[in-house]
Amino acid sequence: MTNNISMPAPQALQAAKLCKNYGKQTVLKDLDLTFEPGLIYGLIGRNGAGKTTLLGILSGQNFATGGQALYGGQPVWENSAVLSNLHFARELSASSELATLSVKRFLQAGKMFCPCWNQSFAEELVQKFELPMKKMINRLSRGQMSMVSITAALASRAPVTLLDEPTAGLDVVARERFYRILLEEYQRTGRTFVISTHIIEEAASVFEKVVILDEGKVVADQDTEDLVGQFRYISGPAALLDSALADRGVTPLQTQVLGGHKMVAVRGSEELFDELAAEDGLTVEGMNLQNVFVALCGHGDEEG
Amino acid sequence: MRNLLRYYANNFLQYMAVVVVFVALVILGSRYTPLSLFESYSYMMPSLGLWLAPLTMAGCRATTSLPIYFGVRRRNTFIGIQIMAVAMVLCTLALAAVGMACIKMWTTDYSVDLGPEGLPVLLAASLAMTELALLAQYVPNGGKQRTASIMLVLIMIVFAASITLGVIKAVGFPIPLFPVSVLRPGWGVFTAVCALAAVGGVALTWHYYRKAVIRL
Amino acid sequence: MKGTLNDQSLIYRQIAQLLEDGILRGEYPADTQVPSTNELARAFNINPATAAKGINRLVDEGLLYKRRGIGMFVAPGAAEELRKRRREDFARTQVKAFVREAKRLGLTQQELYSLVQAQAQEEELP
Repeated sequence: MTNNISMPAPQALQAAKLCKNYGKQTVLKDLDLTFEPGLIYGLIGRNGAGKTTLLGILSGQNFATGGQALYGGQPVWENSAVLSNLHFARELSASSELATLSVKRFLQAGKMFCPCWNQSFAEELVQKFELPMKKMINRLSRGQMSMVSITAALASRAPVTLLDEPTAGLDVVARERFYRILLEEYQRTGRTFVISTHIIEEAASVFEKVVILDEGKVVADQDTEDLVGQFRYISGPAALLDSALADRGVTPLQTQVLGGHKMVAVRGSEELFDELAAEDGLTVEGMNLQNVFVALCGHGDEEG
Repeated sequence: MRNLLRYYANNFLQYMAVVVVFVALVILGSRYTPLSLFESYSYMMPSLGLWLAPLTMAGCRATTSLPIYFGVRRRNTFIGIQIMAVAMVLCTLALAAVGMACIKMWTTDYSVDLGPEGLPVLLAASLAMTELALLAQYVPNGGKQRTASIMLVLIMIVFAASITLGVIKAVGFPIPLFPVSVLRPGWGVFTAVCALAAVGGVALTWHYYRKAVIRL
Repeated sequence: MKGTLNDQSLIYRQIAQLLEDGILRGEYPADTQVPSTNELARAFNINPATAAKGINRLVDEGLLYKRRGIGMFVAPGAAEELRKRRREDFARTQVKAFVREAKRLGLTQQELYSLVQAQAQEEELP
């Protein structure tokens, strides 16, 4: 039954000049971004970067102070035809206003309101995650709460599904299992998934594209491997390294000095890295997505 | 919209089950036991809508927010809530009336004289209490706790007042407030104020509800 | 975390490398089918688009060819081509790094040669 797919094809989900203030605090500033249909996106950013707010506005759960969210060119806000195509799996907590519901009632509501809901898939996931149906959400462990929102999100079969920190509280085995189930579902349906997470490295290979949010602005939005391929750590004697970078007009993103030895994070082209690697005394090393994220968003944390 | 109505109908039926059990207990209690407890309860029957529906509404935010989580438009969800709220109040009053009629039939000295003129007063007051209880759920963060507790205290006062009135009535002490009738000037003004409060409550709740964010 | 994949170099390159190693070791002789995008994605828990990128790289390099509706197959002569390329690569990068390290350690040419010779004899190179 899980293979019985009757779901409209996903369309592009777009943020157009989105602004959001909470009182005097600005969370999003003129944010433009498009999630193309049928891809798995990673949305990463530091705490308070505006990830949850962005996902909330894109799914019509939160309202924008300026600009708007569009789905297939149509406004999302209060638009029934569009809302039924979107699902936003929020991170549940014991203090969440939905936490006084039982797992059963929560999932029943999903079945009732999500037009593409797949009940046998939901039951399969409940069994796989061993969810206690009769318990109230606020009596569950953090990991179980994540599994409840994951179950609703996957079973909703919404063409575009946004998951906020779905792996929060899950142990490493459960996280791997989640990504496996997600990839299976993706291969089966071609739904769009946008996943925000703090546990970046083990999710990097699942994300075809990655969006990095920093202080309410998009600092990267591209193919994950293309992005990671643009960064390297260069290390060597400080004087040699500095002159090699200065000669080529390269500004390092992140610097670490240990005695006369220096290591910097650099964004550039394959040719630049080949040139630097050819210099006697310099070492060029690859980065992973987590390193790239720290290099881009770790401002203020530099040492030396 | 049909699913939404079904969803609220489920919640409504759960509430009504409680009301039915309560009314049945009071009827049977007054009929078959000599306990004065049931006698005073039987006299507070008319005020059932004043505290039972508001009390339920004061703890409903999970129920009223859940459809939004699953992508239902706010306008529709709100209409559903309002239909449920009004149905709750109307059915509570109707059941209370039936209950009173039964007790009157079966017991000799029961004299709650709630005529047709008294019903609009009760209806307006019950609606006002219910709508304000709902509003208290959606007042944004700053004033939230305060409003919610004020509302709860108000419900408690009404509840206590009904019990007191029930006891006084049971003792047979004459009170100038009775009979309750929309035609008496004091009660007429009271009804109008309640109706206004109910309408104002609906408007203000919508103002907050249409931009409410599910709390985490 | 992903089986034999590591997280210090690009996943699609690792997928390409993995298939190349298979071809070199003779696990996939000429005109046999290699694992599909979906099989690779499932096996390593990676995005199928990334697996496809790895496969396409080998197609672009003429090491694999596509049979419509069936899958990807090893091109004739792929193993020889790979061996040739790896030899060039070996000379360009590995030997260079190796000699540089020897220089840093203060070894003379003669010392380096004899070290290499001893190891080559032990590994029984023809």
